[in-house]
Amino acid sequence: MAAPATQQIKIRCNDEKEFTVDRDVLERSVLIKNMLEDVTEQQDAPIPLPNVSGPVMAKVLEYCTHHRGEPLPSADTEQSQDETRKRTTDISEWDQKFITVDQEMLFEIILAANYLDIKSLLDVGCKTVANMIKGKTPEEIRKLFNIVNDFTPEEEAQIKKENEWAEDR
Amino acid sequence: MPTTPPHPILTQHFNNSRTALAKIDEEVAALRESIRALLAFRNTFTPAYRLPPEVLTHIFSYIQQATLHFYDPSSRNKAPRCLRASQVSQHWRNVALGSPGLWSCIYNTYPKCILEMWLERSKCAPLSVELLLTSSSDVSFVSSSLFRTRSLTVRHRESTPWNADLPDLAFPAPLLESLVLDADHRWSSRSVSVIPDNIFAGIVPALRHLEVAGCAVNPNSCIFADLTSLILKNSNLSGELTSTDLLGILRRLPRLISLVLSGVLRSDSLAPLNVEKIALSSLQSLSISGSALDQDLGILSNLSFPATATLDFHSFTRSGDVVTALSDFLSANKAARQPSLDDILVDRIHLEHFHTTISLHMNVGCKEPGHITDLMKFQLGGPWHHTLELPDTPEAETIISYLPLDALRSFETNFVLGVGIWTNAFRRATVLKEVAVVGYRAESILEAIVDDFKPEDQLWTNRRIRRLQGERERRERVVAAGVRKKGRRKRPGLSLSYGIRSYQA
Repeated sequence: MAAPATQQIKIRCNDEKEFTVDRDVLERSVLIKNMLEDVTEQQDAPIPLPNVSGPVMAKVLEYCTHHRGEPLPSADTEQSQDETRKRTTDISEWDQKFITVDQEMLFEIILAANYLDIKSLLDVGCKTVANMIKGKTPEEIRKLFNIVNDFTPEEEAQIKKENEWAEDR
Repeated sequence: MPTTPPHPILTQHFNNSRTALAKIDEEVAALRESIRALLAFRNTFTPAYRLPPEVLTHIFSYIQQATLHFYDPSSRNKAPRCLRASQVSQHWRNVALGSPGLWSCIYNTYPKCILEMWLERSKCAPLSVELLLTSSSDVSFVSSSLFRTRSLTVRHRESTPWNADLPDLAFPAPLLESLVLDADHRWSSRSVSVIPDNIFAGIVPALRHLEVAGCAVNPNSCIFADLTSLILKNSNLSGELTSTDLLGILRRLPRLISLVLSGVLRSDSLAPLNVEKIALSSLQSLSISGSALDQDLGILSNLSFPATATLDFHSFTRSGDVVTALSDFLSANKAARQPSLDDILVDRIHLEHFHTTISLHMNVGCKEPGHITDLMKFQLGGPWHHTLELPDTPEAETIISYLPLDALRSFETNFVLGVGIWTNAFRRATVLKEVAVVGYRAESILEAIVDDFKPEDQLWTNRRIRRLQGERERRERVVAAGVRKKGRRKRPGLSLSYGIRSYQA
């Protein structure tokens, strides 16, 4: 029998920070959902999440709380989205506001979403990074992410060749 | 004059120098490589490098889609700019080159070397191929790629038909799910491109979406099997497709979800009567348009589909004829539990100068309008998303006076009738959410609306309207307008959004 929606679940982050959260909010994470389904008896011990820190988890929970109750994307919908190539980088207004954070936090949120398997949050993060990159030259992208050019001369020559035929946009 | 060999001491000196230079060069190269390695190591400490390859690929795929979106296939010998993110650093490049899907959209207009490079980088990934056929185009790569092509678009814009055999398409396409064959060269009536009988060697088991425009079709072709989406446009150019052929095709497609027929029938081709109706039980949307009203209605009357399906029926004949014909058709089908006129509400009215284009939407119980003289026949209104577009015609005022604007949510006009008409109209449109007025009097009309309504709060002062213009970029549904004011040539359109609902008349 399905657990009642109001059941509270405890989680513990890698900095020992603990959260007590409604089950349906936590179940936005497929990882946690599967964990909870595997546990038959109610346990008081918090679920350890060794790859997520407290501040990042707080942000993730803010997202999950806002989107609680929304249908989770199924494998079918993902596949059809890929097939029809309708993958846009549009982000809803609330999500945009939510993801307006510094770069370090942005990447931490993406990593957490990837680890916790929260597809919609991962998409929001990836779209945000894609939007940051779109329209920029490689040099501008490097500057944006504090990356330096580490290509070999052979790779540089290959890149030059690739760009020779590029449509100028 | 014979040259004397250099003195042995000099020779030794030169040899030593060469060795020294080579040694130094070697050392410089090693140092450069060390620096490069150090820079690569440095990169690993940046936040962006913490992303695992699969997430990075996910990000790149979003960028790639956007890049391709702007690519113009007709710009010969050019390719879309190679994913710039693959030119940032070695790690990012390795991730991009290790993701075949990022290189799987192929256009035959790419320069040969780029085309080969993309095909190689796409490895075994399913391809999305777009071909622009011209007399000089080389599409030979397709034959060796068809086995992994998931989506294929063939466009032909020459005045002569494409090669009747299309030999490069005569191979099995086991993964093909979407096929577009577009030879819609309407300006040429002399000859027609023909879909070859041996296309895909008859093996195309996964095909679900098919769009054919301006081609002669063989109703028995393998491409008409197990489709869920079919679009046929202007196939009557072939002079071949009869109503019987078309119905034969539809009979083979019981799983159709979406069907679009646009100008597909010969004008003298009448649909057969008294045949068993074709059951399209999964159909969700049906669109029929053309200038042959009788033929289009004939096809419609031979189909049976769920009452929840959306029907768009566009006819370029006099709108009154359409309404009468549809009215008859729907009444006749009432007994057969088909949707009746009573089930239809207005979704959209679009009036042009001489004709009325009507969209009927049969789902969720809505109503239907007609030509101005037919409007009285129908009950308008209901809890539906209504959009009204009005051009500058004398009929518009009558229409406004008739329409039950209490259900109108979105309104757009470019005509310049008196301000009083608008204020009267808006007073009745209590749930109106969005207004766009296009034209040189747009500003005065909208300002008059605001003044007339005397809103309870001060939100909708003129200043507020102007501030909304500033927010226009973030409002997708606002319509742009050209308005002259104070010497400025163009300004964004004035728009009222999400506010009029609260007005008290």
